[in-house]
Amino acid sequence: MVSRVNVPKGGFNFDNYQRNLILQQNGYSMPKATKTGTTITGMKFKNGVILGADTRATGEALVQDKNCPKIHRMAPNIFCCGAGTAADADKVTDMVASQLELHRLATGRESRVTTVLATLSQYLFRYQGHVAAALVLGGVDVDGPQLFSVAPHGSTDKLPYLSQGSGSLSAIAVFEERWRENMERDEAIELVKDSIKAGIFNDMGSGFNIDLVVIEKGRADFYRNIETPCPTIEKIGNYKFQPGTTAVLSESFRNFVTITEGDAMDIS
Amino acid sequence: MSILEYNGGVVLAMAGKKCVAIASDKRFGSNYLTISMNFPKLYQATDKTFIGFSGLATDVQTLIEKFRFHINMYRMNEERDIEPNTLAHLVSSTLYERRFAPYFVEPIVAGLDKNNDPFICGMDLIGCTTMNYDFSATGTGEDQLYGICEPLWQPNLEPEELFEAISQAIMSATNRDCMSGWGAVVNNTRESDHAYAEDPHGLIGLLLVRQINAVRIETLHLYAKLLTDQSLADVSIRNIMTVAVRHREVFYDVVSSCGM
Repeated sequence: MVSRVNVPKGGFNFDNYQRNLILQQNGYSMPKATKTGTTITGMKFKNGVILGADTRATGEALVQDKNCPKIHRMAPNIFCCGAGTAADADKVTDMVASQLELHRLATGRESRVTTVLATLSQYLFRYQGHVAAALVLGGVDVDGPQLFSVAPHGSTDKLPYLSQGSGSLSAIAVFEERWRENMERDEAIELVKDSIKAGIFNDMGSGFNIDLVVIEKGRADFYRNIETPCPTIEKIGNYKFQPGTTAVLSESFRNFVTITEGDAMDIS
Repeated sequence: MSILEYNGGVVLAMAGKKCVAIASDKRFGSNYLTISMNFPKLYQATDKTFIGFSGLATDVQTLIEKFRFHINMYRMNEERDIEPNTLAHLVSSTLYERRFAPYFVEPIVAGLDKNNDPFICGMDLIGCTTMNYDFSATGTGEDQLYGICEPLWQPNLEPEELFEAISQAIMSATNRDCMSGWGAVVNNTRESDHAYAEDPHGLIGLLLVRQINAVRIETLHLYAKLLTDQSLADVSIRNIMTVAVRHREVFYDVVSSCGM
């Protein structure tokens, strides 16, 4: 007998809400989700926009990820950095990127930064700040280079240089001192790197490596780990245990053999 | 106390050279009372992939059944097993769906991809993926695990060395955490076609005609206390001999079924 499977319709599911509420009322505290901590920045330069981010993801005081990618590709010409609750920033940027791809296929045109801005801010406002993502959005489209930031409650800012995250104060200080209009590409890259470094060294929630993306008309260069101001020190000692050190109670083996004849199916 | 600490438990995964190991402790408790000392938190998703869940046990069991369904449906639709990367994203989406009323689990997906390269992905309770290349830990003893893994892990660990590293790490960490322990289960998955080299019957020539991709999974149950008994050094050699014999058995079965 075949019974119909309920395919989820998308959107959030609140099935566990009552159970979780009862648990909370019985004195069990709700766990904290991974936050990005973060220093994310963006600035406009002569021919386009540069976005930069650090790579630390924290769960309260513990570092969960030492090389977390915070710069998300929304479109070939539009990138977005995410701060706040890591899952929210990841999922909201992925969702909007998918919608944007479908939109590009439907319209046959290059995506616009204002499209992304409207989608993100309307979505975040709808959830009244509970989807806790703070984003720095930049890209180059038919209207030229554009740089925006979106706050968790849905408000937006349009500025020549921006920063978000726990390290935003340190980063914006660097911009306030050294930003000028129409900077050259190399000088601008150095400025963004310095702003992220200010966050990395002065903010506990930011750290490790610097990611950068330079967006110009018709091209975007993504530099993953362009600089590592906090390199891992090489271990001098060898901590390998001799095989057989650990006592084993019982063991079982299973072998799985796949024989491929001819061309294997392409599963890339 | 946080709801994630109610039942207790830890999961740890580590990557080596063409191998990956995932381990969990075996304690199952109700607050401070231990109910069972044989409750491993690992689920074998496919031949080459495992998911380990730490957190509230009821949600662990619910999600194991949910993912069993999804993985079987995937296999029926695609006529192949799900890749660990894809599975990690599936788990992440399933958790994020409950963003505002979450499942209280923090899973780790660990497995070998289609090229038998290790893949590890840890997640928080709402599906934020952290794709570490070295190791990933979740559970009540997470801090202790991260602390011991940092020095013990190094790149390109061979399967035997990886087993030692992960076992010592989980045993040491659970010793310093009240809510987990009572031993550990380690699942060590590795590529192992080089074991065929010792076959003395000259059938090695046939192996070159076909691409053979063998994956070996060992499930090892460990003592609760650290022991460094010299006689146990023989254990690993026994492992290899046993495996070589089993490989031959498997190989003969395969060859005979192909009508050679």
